[in-house]
Amino acid sequence: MQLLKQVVEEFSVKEIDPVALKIEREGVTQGILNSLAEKGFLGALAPVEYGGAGLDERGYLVLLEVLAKHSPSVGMYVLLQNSLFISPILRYGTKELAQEIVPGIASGKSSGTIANYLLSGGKISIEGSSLSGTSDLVPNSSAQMCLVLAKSGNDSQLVLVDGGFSIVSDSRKLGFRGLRYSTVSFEGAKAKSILLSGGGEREVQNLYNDSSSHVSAMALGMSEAALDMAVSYAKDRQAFDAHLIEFQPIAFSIARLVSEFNVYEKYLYGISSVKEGMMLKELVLEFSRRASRASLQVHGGYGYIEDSGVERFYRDTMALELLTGNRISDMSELSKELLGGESAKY
Amino acid sequence: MRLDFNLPEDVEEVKQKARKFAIEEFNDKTASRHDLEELYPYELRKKAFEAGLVRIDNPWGVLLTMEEFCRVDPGLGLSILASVFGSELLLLYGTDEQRQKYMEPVLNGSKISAVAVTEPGAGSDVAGISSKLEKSDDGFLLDGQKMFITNGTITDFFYVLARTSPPPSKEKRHHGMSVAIVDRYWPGVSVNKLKGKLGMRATDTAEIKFEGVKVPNENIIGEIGKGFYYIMTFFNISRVYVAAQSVGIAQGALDELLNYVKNSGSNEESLQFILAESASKLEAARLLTYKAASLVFQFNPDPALTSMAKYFSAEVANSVTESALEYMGQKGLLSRLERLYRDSKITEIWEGTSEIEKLVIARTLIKRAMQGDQIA
Ligand SMILES: Cc1cc2nc3c(=O)[nH]c(=O)nc-3n(C[C@H](O)[C@H](O)[C@H](O)COP(=O)(O)OP(=O)(O)OC[C@H]3O[C@@H](n4cnc5c(N)ncnc54)[C@H](O)[C@@H]3O)c2cc1C
Repeated sequence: MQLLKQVVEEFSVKEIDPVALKIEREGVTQGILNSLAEKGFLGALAPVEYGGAGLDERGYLVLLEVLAKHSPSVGMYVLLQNSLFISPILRYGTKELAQEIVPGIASGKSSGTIANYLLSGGKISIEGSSLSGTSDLVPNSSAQMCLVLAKSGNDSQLVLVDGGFSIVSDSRKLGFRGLRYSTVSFEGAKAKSILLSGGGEREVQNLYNDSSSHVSAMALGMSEAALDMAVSYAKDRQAFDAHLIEFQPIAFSIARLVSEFNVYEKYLYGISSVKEGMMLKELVLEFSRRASRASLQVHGGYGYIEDSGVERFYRDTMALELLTGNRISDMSELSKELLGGESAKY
Repeated sequence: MRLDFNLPEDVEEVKQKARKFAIEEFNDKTASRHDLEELYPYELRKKAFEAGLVRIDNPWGVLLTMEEFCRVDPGLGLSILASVFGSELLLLYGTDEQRQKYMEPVLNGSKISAVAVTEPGAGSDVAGISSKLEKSDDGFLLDGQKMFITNGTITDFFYVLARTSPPPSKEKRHHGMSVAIVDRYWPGVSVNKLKGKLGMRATDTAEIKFEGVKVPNENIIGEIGKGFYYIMTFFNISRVYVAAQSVGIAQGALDELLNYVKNSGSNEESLQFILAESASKLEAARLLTYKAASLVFQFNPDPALTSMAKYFSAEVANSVTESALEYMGQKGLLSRLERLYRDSKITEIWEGTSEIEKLVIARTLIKRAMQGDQIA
């Protein structure tokens, strides 16, 4: 794991850091995608026979944490391809489908996304194999393929769509500006394959529950970056004839955040169940916002300007929560997991 | 005795007028465009002046206009109201000639002003600035660099804080500074717009360079060497307006949340608690702000109270926008809450960071305690 961390760290320093701010302004470039593919990161969770890297869960967490530390947008792209696209295809699709789709994703030749009305509140429905409706905030909306949670009567299906959907308008972007987010229309699109013909909502919620640890790794990577920046700025910047780090309120606040980071990171790599991932996610999403807000504050006026590279963590940590979950349903899931099915009804 | 929490009728009228103006003019499309493209709203500023909404001779009116404007869109609202930024300096310390030449055109909307205190190397530590006003034959020569100056590229002139003499000792670092009025178009003045702010993107922010700028004697405000005190007195006024910005932002976020709850018909208790907590915090911030403002407007400011209002309201603005966004989820992301969340952060930074406000509060209280005073 230490070795993998080193590999991803070196990769990020070499390939991502020089263009990290450019990615924010112009998007994740094909060049970055190619080098991610070359390292096997785009298909991190896919088995080797599908062109993936076949990483285990912990290896995948390392990858996400380090990538998010260097570029949250790149981390999010990899999470999207693996946790929310490849995973459900491997789990619910046929072997043939996986063989057809996954290698293209892993090699960066094509890319995927997911439209989930549980998060966006959009209305997508399916009749036979024909889809209709639109979905807001579809991430990586220029992707060729999309997993769609669609209503069919009183039930819901999870289907794969290959092309045939179109971008209606781009959304404002609080975070992950390196990815394109759009309102997407599925009017007239056809399901290429039906992965789940019923019970889609429950399974999609499970999919998001399962990726709690992945989201946690992202949150921790971003927190680490924000805190590193806070520490080095506070050691360098002077006010009132002292370095900022010499003032107790600043030192106490950063010291506490660094402690929290270390405790959470240790827990992350010991996670052995979905429940543990969900518990950690509940803590670290809030923590990562607190850490990035503190870092921005330490940077004073500079922190408010994009060029400082700090304010994006403030935006991205909030966007991470909103784009990978929903506060009330996530907390209800966690409550039920910990306290039983009757909890958190009202 | 009765504490009356109602606004006088004329102030209530201004408030309603400001609310109406904001709702009509700051629609989401306009606000989004100015935010996205970082455009200063020249036209809207003109309209607000024509509507009589920018009148610092009616401070309560301005305070409530600030609140109502920021409630709808902080970036646009602030751009408009900050065009008179610094006028109190001349109101308090200027000569009649200075007021006539500089302040009046600003107050009638034909000119814009800016306050240039912060430097690349010194923000919170105002006494740490290094810009210099050096005595010359017929006035002063100004050299130095200023950072994050609101209205920097659109202003007609700056109120500049600079050193007229070195600090006499470490303890007396705040001695020896003066405030000069410097025209934007004088030789040696150059401005550079800072792009890519997190929020308040309709406002204009710039770095300024002064290189051998000739400043005539009559452009120095008040007494030489007293600049630090003038600026601190000014901040004691302007901070209540920042507190009002925060109150407005928090109210705007609460409006969005209430609207969401109303329309979604959701009756989950977790959401109701967020609503209740946010509304309570907001009300506390508003009362504190009005109390501090009331003292400021009676020419009897309490710096501790002003700093409490500024710090507390900023915290409330940030926490209310954060929880509203969190609980509305992607619906919030698609609404103007997204903008409010980015805009709110600045209230903890400008015109004294929250840390600096806390130091002002504590030091004022300690000083009073040492003098044996009782806090009211
Ligand atoms: C959009 C924008 C508009 C602005 N407009 C203007 C303007 O019009 N005119 C103008 O003059 N300035 C303006 N400013 C500057 C603003 O007032 C300063 O950014 C602010 O005062 C903080 O100064 P700084 O950025 O140098 O941070 P620093 O002073 O370097 O502070 C960095 C951090 O250290 C903390 N800190 C400093 N000293 C202590 C201490 N003793 N104890 C504990 N913590 C401490 C601060 O609170 C802050 O969190 C603007 C800034 C922005 C971002």
